[in-house]
Amino acid sequence: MNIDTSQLFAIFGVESLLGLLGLVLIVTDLLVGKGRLTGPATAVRTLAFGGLVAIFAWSFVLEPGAEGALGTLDSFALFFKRFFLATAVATLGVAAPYEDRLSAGRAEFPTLLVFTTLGMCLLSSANDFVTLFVGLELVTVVLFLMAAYRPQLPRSIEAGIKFVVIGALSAAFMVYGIAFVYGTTGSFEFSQISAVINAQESLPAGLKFGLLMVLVGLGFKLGAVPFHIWIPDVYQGAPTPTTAFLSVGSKAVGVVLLMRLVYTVMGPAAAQWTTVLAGLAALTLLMGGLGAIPQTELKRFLGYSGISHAGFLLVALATHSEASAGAILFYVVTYLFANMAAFLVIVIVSRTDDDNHMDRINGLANRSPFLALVLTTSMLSLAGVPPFAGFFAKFMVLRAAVAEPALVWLVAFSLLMAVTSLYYYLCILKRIYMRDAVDTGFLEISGGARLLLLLCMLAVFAFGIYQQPLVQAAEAGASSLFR
Amino acid sequence: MDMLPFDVNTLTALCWALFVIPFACAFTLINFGRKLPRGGDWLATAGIASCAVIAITLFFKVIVGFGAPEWAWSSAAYGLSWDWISLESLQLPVGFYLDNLSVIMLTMVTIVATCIFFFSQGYMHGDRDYPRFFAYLSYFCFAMLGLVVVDNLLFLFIFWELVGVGSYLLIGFYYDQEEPPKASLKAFMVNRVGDVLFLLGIIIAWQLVGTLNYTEMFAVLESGAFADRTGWALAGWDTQTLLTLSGILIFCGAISKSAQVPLHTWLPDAMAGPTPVSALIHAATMVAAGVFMVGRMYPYFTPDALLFITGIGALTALIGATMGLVMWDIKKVLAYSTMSQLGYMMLGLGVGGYVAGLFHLITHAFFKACLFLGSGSVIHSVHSQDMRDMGALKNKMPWTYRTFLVATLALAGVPCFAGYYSKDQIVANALSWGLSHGVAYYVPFVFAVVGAFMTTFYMFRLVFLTFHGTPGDQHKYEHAHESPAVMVLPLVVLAIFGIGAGGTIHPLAEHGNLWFNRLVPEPASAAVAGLEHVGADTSVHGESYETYLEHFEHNLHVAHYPALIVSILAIVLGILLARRMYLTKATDPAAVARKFGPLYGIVCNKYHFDDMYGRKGVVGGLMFMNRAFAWFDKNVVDGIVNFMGLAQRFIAFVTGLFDKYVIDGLVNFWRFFVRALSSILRLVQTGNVRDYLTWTLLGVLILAITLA
Amino acid sequence: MGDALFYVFGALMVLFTFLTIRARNPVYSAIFMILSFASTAALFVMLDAFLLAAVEVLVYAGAIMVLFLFVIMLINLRAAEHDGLRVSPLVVLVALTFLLLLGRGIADLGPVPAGANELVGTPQLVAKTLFTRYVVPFEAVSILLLSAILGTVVLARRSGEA
Repeated sequence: MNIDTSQLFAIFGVESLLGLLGLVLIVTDLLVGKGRLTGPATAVRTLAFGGLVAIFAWSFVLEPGAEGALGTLDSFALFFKRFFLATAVATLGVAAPYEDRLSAGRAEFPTLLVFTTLGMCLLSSANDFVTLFVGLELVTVVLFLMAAYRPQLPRSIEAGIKFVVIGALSAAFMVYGIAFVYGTTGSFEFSQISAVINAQESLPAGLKFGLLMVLVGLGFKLGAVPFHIWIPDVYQGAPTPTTAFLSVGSKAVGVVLLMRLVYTVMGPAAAQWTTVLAGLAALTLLMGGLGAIPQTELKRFLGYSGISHAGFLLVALATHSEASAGAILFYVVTYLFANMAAFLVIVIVSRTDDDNHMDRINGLANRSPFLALVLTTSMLSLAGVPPFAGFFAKFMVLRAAVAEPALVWLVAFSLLMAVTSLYYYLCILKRIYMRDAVDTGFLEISGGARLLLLLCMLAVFAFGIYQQPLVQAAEAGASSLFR
Repeated sequence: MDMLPFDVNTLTALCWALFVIPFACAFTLINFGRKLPRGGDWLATAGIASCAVIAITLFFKVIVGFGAPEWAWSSAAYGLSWDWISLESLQLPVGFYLDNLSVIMLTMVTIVATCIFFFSQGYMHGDRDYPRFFAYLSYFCFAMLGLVVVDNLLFLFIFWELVGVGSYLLIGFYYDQEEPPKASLKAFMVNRVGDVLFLLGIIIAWQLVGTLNYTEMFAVLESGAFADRTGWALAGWDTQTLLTLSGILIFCGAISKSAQVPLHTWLPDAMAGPTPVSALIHAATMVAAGVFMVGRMYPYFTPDALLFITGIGALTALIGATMGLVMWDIKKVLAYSTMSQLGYMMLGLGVGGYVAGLFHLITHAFFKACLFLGSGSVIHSVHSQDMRDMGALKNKMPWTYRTFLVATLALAGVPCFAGYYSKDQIVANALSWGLSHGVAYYVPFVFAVVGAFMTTFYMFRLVFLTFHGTPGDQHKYEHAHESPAVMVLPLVVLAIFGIGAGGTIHPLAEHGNLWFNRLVPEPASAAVAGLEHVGADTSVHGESYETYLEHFEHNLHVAHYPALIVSILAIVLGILLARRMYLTKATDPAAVARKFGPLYGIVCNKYHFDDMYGRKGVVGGLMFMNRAFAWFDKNVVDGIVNFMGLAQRFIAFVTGLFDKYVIDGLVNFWRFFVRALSSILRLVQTGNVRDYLTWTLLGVLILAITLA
Repeated sequence: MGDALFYVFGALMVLFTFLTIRARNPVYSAIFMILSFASTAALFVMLDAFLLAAVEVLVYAGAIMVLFLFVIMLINLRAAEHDGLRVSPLVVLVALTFLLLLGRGIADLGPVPAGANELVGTPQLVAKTLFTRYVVPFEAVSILLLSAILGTVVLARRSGEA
């Protein structure tokens, strides 16, 4: 078997550039301002930011369609590569005001971020289980490190260790599953496995078991109940930029791979799994919705909110149609903007110390009307209130789901949980507007942070009103899964 | 001949202007209001007044086309729409839809709003947040006008939510007091319940007919060309059930928005907002949006869905009226009266009186706004909302009194006043419905007549207590004064509409000749046509739907005079009784209250609706759970000792259950469930990794077993 | 004969792994783990995967375990005070059920599909596959190791040091 290098670059161009960027960052860290703390950090951060933005821009030059034995660059993969690059850029933005808290590791943070992003991009192009597993490990291992990134804080270490143990369990499920799939189909490749699956009337128990284990492994990434259990603790303990990246990136990794597996690999056979997926979706919605109510810690709260969003994604996943696949892609993008804005606000309001208690945002409207507006927009979008993007995302998911009569109960249940969730998002708004501020210090918002917040807010608003371009991109991405 | 030639571009521009102007005003005021002279009230007022000018211009266009009731600038036919989203899988064109109904609605909303903006300049004078108030009001007008002009259900829903936000902001306007923030939250939450069901209905409707544009929806429905239903059919859902279900779900949106039983509890509390807000939002426009929506979607409702609407409407009309009887707060009386009148409108629509229901929506808006503003004028002068503090105010506030009296007569439905023409039509339709269906179906008619009696009674009770008799509080009486011209003039304008909105003062005018009846023809039921296409049974009591409609039309003519006589009797009776109890004091109201002791108590407690949803209900529910569990424990442990005793206890248990908890069940169960689940959650989220692993593994096992 | 040996080494592997968890002294744990790895290597040999067997012994039993032992001795880890195996019945139940499930999955594997046992662990074959078909994951592993080193350096560094 010969490797065609130009074809390899056509498929893995983004990954190659990211790898190169990571290496350049390491070298820069070594060469620039040796012995000082801020010099290399600034250089690395600027370079990482510039590089990521450049690669992001370049990804729009790429044409989908390159396909080879080693990987695939369909419009679905390309959509998610852009998504992960955008997430990385936003995470750098969230990390900027947090930088002085990263102390010793501030120069390495962007490098690690670039490497995980590489892993995520690789995963979106994966078309065999080997690449899938290695890519997943690359992403998770780096995320372990990023979660335990402040070893002087017991909470951060605790988060890292819990994450490692539970991550190991999920990896174990994954390997088990892959072994079973290989044992029953004789291949690692998605296309061949798919052929074997769809040649049979009903799946043999071994294959079923293998696929289930793989789905369980991915369920951890997505944060689906009952594999969500690490989320609150890890979200709370990890440094906020890491949490932001986890909440969007890690979830999206689960989404990408689940979509590939369910829609492409399992194909029509996935219809047998509808009930299981729908049940998981209902459980996830329930747990996310009810778990968020008593929370008093902002990041923990957003963790539960993320679980309930995972529930909505599962509702779409249970619906086996092109429309629902498009809805998922739309959903994750709106989630990205709303969530990143919320995390950046958290970083800014907890600047003085690391307390992320909800009291922090009390009376925010008087301290900084801008931040209050951003957080309100983001919460309303997450809650799915009409003019914002989140509403349309939920609407698309439910509209796709209602086409499946067997899922009408799930649609009704999701709507019920959406109302429940509205309650706790409103509680946040109440704190912003109706409570007196607990601390009254000056809130410093740098120009960059302001720009990012504005961008997120506009996106949340714009995609709620004029969603055509995004819907179009999402549909194109989704349709390539069904070919 | 077309005297006002409008091309499509002009019309589109006018539609845009209608809701962009108020939005621009709101935006300017919220940002720069404090820097503008007079807080920018002139800007907001000018904005809404210009909208009124546009609406009236459009209205004249309608009048000119008097002979052509089908005048409708439907978006598709006239190029008024453009693609919002256009994809292979998802088509969502959006546009404006102007027909006679929406133009009349626009005219009503803008005229009432203009009056209220002027009134507010006097009423809110000197308030700390004066500019913010006008900003919110303008924002509300933007959302409300948008709601009226859009051409599809999804956008109606979006504006519906935006209107709800406006209501939320304005109810909680006095955010530093205790009541308003609570009331605003309550309004918001109760409305969400209805909205979720509404959205579910929209989604199912979309699935069923494949479009959300009104015109296209009805066209598809009429031709019976339903979207692909194979999946649904396989799942055992027939078209008829789905159509009825989605219709009822869509109506559920109107239940919360238009304060119908059982989601009406927010409306009385919403009176915590400033009085002009109550007049604009919670009397004339927003609450009527639910009725407007039902009117818009009218061809979509199947006979079964209409039956449901009738039932809810009749209940609301009666329950609202009874609660109006016992309130002492002047605004609360009006709030319950609004609720009851909205019930009338729904009832009218439900029984097939499409025109009657919508006509009542228009006339009611004018005189109810007048009543609220009148009460605002009184409150402004007396600084109290309790009617026991008032009395004899007619000498001090002659103009307020006169306009209030006119509006009261209109609300009571006294002949020659606007309310008479619309309300009488509803009663006639209800009677005709009863005649066409059979004995059991006279209930809405009876409710409507009893409601009419009560309406007259409580309104005259209000008038007598407030303006006649002796001052309740001498100090307040002495300081009372007529309101400034900027408040009185809007009252006069609205009172004129209270007389003139009927379009005639001929008491025996033929219904078919009224201006509204001629402009807004009743659409044919697309649902029935569609159902006939797919071969569903649409017959009513064994005869075809067409024959039923003929019967109904015939009975309507028969019903006209009997209904008229009965309702006039009810009115006279109401006035006389109110006079006897509150003016001449020949009968002591307290004695009457004692006589109806328990009933009076229930009504005073608002039928326990609030307790049911509130804390009392929760505690009660938990106690019930405890009792149920205790009962179970005891009986399982003891074994069956005495079967008779057990049976006896069981009967007592069931009776007790029925007595106290029959309605609470669902709500409380949900709360209990939430609590139980969060305690399980606490059990799981221990922070110990080993526990986490165990739970996860358990989850995997359950999954695997489900799948195997 | 081959079958019997398979079961012998399989049983040994399970036994040593159990002892690894069971031992109170961390040094014993490490030693048991080496033995468990050795049994795994033996299984690989029986499957003709000689390279994998060698790698298992060299990398795991050799390099990694030596590192473990060094760390244990350097930080002077004492024997665990309490019995490390106090598990709740729920855990046992769950684990046993899972085992049953696993057994059911294995029992129903069906015939070995064609091509599944072609990939045999000779160095040439492994190298060829690794550098052609799986070159992308191979490179990804190198990135993974690089970032792991980078992260470890950061975590090991005391705050304030550059």
